[in-house]
Amino acid sequence: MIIQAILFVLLLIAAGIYFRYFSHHMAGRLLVLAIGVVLFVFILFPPLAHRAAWLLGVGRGVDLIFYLAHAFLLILVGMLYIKQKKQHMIITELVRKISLERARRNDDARD
Amino acid sequence: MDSEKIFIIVPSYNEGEVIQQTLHPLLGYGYRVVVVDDGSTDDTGSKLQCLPVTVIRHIMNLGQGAALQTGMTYALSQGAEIIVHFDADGQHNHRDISRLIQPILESRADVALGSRFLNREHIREIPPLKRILLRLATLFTIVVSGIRLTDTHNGFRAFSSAAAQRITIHENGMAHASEIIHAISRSKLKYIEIPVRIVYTQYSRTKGQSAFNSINILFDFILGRFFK
Repeated sequence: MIIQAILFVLLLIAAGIYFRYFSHHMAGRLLVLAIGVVLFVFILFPPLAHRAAWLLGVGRGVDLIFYLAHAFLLILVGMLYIKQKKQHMIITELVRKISLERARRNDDARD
Repeated sequence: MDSEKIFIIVPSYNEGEVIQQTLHPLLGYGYRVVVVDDGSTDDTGSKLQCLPVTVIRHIMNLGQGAALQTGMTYALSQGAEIIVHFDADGQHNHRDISRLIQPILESRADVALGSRFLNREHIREIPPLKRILLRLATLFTIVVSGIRLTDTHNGFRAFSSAAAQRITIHENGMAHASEIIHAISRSKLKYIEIPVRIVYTQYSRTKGQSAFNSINILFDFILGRFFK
């Protein structure tokens, strides 16, 4: 029961962080929401995970959760990569603008 | 063509040791030499002060691809008709510039790409491991961009202004070389390969890309294409 409460709180925190800082597209929101609901159901009713695993042919319920967690983590890493790349592009544009503006001023001063 | 309309873009990061040596031979041709100091922390800035070149300084280090794009944006804003990429570490031969830009001047090509693999003598000068990696890179380019080149990662290239306007480098790091080839293919630009000699000095070998970094470059390019 305690572990269920801890997992539930962790799930809420993770969902909160995602929706607060990473959620920009409806497709991403729906995907994370779906994963969150599935995890929530599995936390509350562990035998369901076992049943779902059996239906999907992946052995035990814990195996299914293990695979799902990996998929989820990979998606998150991909999202972080995209976010970081976008930030880097913004920094690049900013640095470029500053350097070109300075070069233009130097050219004007020379003329 | 007025040689003032030919812009030589020299991206430079911590090349203070050789930058003057690299730039001096370029000054006699009347080209506009634009050095993009990519946030160097050595004495590159002071070494450039006494030279008649345009210096554009990035306030932080972004990478060679970003420096080239900054240089190209500047050159186009100044009415460049031909833009040449030229390495700051002294690997490129200034005498090759005229041969590189000739096909563009004669409107035979939009882009001229330097190649180390068109002359047997030049091939022999390439370190063996580098030769293998470059061959693999050409295979990769054929698969990804559909362009059959002999040397895909040669930083010595020239563009007509029309071609330069159609190419925007997004890859800040070394993956820009593959990105440029891909952009040439996508924009259906006329290209030609020109034999050029790359001088492998102890300095350039130390500063150059390690074999391991080739994997990083490949990774950057692939991810860059999937996550735009």
